[in-house]
Amino acid sequence: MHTPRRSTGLVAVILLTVSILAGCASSGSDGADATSASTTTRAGAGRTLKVPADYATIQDAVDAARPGDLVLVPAGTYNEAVNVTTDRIVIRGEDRNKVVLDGKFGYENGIRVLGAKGVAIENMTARNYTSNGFFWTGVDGYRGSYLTAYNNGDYGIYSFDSVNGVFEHSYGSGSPDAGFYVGGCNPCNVLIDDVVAEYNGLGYSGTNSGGNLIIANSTFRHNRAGIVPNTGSYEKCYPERDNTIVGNLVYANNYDSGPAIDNARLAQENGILVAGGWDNKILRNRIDDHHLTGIALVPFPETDATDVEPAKAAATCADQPRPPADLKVPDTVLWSARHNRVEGNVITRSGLADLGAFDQDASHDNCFVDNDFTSSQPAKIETLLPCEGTGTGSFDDQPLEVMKLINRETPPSGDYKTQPKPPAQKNMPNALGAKAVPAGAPPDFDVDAVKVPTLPTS
Amino acid sequence: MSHDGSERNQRRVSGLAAVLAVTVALTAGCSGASSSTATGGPTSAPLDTTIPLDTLAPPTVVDAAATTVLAIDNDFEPKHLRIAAGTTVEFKNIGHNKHNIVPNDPQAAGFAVGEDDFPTGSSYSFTFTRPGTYAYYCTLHATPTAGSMRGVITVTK
Repeated sequence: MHTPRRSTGLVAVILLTVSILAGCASSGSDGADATSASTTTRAGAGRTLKVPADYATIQDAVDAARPGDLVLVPAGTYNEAVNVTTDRIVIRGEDRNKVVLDGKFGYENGIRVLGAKGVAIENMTARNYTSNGFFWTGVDGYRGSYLTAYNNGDYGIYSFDSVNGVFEHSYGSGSPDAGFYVGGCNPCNVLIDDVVAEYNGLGYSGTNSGGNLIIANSTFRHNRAGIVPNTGSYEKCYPERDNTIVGNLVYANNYDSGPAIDNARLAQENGILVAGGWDNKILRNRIDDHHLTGIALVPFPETDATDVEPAKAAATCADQPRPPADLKVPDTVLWSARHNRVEGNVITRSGLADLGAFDQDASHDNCFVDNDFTSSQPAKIETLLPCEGTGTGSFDDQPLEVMKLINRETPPSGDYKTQPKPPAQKNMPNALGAKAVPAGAPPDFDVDAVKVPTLPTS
Repeated sequence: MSHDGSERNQRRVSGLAAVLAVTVALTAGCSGASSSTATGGPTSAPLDTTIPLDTLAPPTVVDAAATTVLAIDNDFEPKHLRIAAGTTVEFKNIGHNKHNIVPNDPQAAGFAVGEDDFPTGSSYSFTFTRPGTYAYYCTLHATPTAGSMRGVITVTK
């Protein structure tokens, strides 16, 4: 039971605000091994603003930047919490593994982009923040490339209420919520490509996000659970819908001693778990070694919900109506998984079932086809829930033992502050010379060209 | 500056914790939720200049002694509330993320709650006794001028 302490709470707020301002305005750095020249140069359409040669801190350089500029950061450890509110700037580290923003478990976010369009962050590391490593919110156009985020208190790399984004060639570990998260957008127009998430509560989580949201060619391993699109009325834009999850390597997400929010504990030991999502396509992923399921479509039960499941999703997030003030909401609202397509995946070594669906009947319109699997709940799932024609069989024939997913004791969260330090990650090519390109809409992505990946040999 | 933000009526309430409900047949795990109440306002109305009111959605007008603003992930609902002086607003955190409430104008004395005192499932109440425009935000997800998690309460005479 929480005991309210208003006076200390106010002090905390004041201290928090002071610390944020201090972090933004006067953070220190030890970038002594900087290799940059000490002049501000012009390259292409924008300038190059160098830290610390021209600006003492990253925040100082960001504040001085104009649209089209590049903020170039040399090797060093930067104890900063950077806020970005200028459109179309690029913030780049010269060395992904040696440019380290360190929150020292006191600052909230490594770099937070608020409402600024087209901001790209490249080739650096953020660790030890109480909230997030890299965070975009309320933006149109964003990109995170060659980023490493580890041991941050909420998310590693995170976008919210933002559209037209790319996360690529990046790594997120040691976060109790998710290594990668996209939330509160539809249509999102987001591509997550070639990322690695491990030792998180959830490798990927996305609440109420979708609409051309593609998660591809990435690795999710050693999390409590791998990829978990989910629905809830505690964020806008419900239900989650229209994700394409294709060509990912999802294995050994049984890290039961890792950091985890409650939902991660609920979802743990599953590879891909669609919790109350609609219209998702799960295609040609390689999934191996999960104590419960490889891929499962399950309802998400929400207590204290503010709305009930709609008969039809709004066309866009902006079109979503507010629930009427007199709406009677049940104590628990069950968000169903509907209209999801599971096709062409290869699933092995699942403790409960390689494929699972918790459906009361076929009206939820989920379907399974051309998967390579050994076990399913319910039995003969591709016959019961085919993608063409009418299914035959019974949901009562070995139904998904959903209680084993939910009604179980799970280990409490581990400490995000002490999770494994990642090995060095691949640098951005030509970080010193590459042209600064602000973020725009994600590139066209050929889903059909993505094949099932192979498992690592070790 | 003075204010009458004395704490009153702090109480504990039980409630369902954030998530972790279960299936239809299962009960959610119960854990602590809290509620605290304060009252007050600045001697002069803090007229916020960082959120142009004409850019906000039309206000939700409440003609009652008490009303509720939800802190969801990551926004306030309703974002723009219009109430009469003396109305108590209960801010209820139903999100899964951490949230706090900080007024843009530091002279809005007494109107604030830190994230440690505003966990998921808890409430914080404030009685707005003085007319004015109270802009506020969550420092974790916004600044006074940017980000989704900002709100405004217009208090009329």
